[in-house]
Amino acid sequence: MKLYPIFVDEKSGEGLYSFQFGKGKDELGRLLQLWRNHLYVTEYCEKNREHIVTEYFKNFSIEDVIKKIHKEAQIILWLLKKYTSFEKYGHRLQHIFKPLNDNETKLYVFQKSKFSVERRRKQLSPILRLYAIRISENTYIITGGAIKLVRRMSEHDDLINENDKLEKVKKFLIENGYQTEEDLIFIL
Amino acid sequence: MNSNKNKISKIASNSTPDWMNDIDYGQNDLWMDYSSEIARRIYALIKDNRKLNQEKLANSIGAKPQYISRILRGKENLTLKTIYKLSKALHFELITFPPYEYSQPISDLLKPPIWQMEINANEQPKVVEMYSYKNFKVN
Repeated sequence: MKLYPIFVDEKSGEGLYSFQFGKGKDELGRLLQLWRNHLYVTEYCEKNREHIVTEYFKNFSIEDVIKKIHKEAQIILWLLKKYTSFEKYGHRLQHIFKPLNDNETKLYVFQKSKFSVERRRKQLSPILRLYAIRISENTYIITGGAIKLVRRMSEHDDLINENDKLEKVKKFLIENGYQTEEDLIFIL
Repeated sequence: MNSNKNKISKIASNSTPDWMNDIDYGQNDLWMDYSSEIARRIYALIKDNRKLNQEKLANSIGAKPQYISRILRGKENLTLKTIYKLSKALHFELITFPPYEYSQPISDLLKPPIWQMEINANEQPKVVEMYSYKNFKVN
């Protein structure tokens, strides 16, 4: 297990990190490679066709979903870079990462968090998700991500697995001496 | 802030992952929209034809199966010659051209390119300023 800086402010250590579970790439690198692989995305959507032909996707076809994933995959890294561009935009990472639990109204250490591109009116909802642990102000560790084709995480095995990965990283941080601190911010 | 840095530096690598040296962060990747459009069609044609597979398609254009696999991943910057070969092998025009006659003003044929289309069910595609990524904001 290893932790890589992705976009990090050298002075403060604030920014975005990505977790590597085993050998191979860290999670962000692995996911970007998968999501930019057209064949993988197409086969994933075919395999999960039952989830796409539901009310959640209304009149959108599998083809629409594949195109949407393709566009989101192109934009995600650009957005992350933009919101961790410290000189130009300041520290804004926690503006784009939200608590995983929609009912939570505060930010805290080791909070499970999620990221997606903006939802646009009359458009398909964002499909790609990044999951992360918030370790301090504007500092997040990406623990994984998924093509989310269902409304709740409990409705798909891949998403249940992502929840487990969030827990594993939290445990890793505690076991490796990343102490918690008083850091509680209320979302307005 | 320094305490934050001290804590994270104990468990994080000093350097960014290698893939970040090769990746494109933005607009230079937009040609891949074309690549994706072609990949989708080839995938569907292979899937619909029981007599065809990646290996047979590769043989018919004088390439290795791995090359077809890269095309299907949407990663290949295909040449016109390769697109022609694939179209011929698949009996399907992978790219088409708008009708044009020298006597007709070209402006009559102008349409938004595919990267400016957004997906909207039950409506005609709209032109958006995707080229500058202005339409992509966060929640």
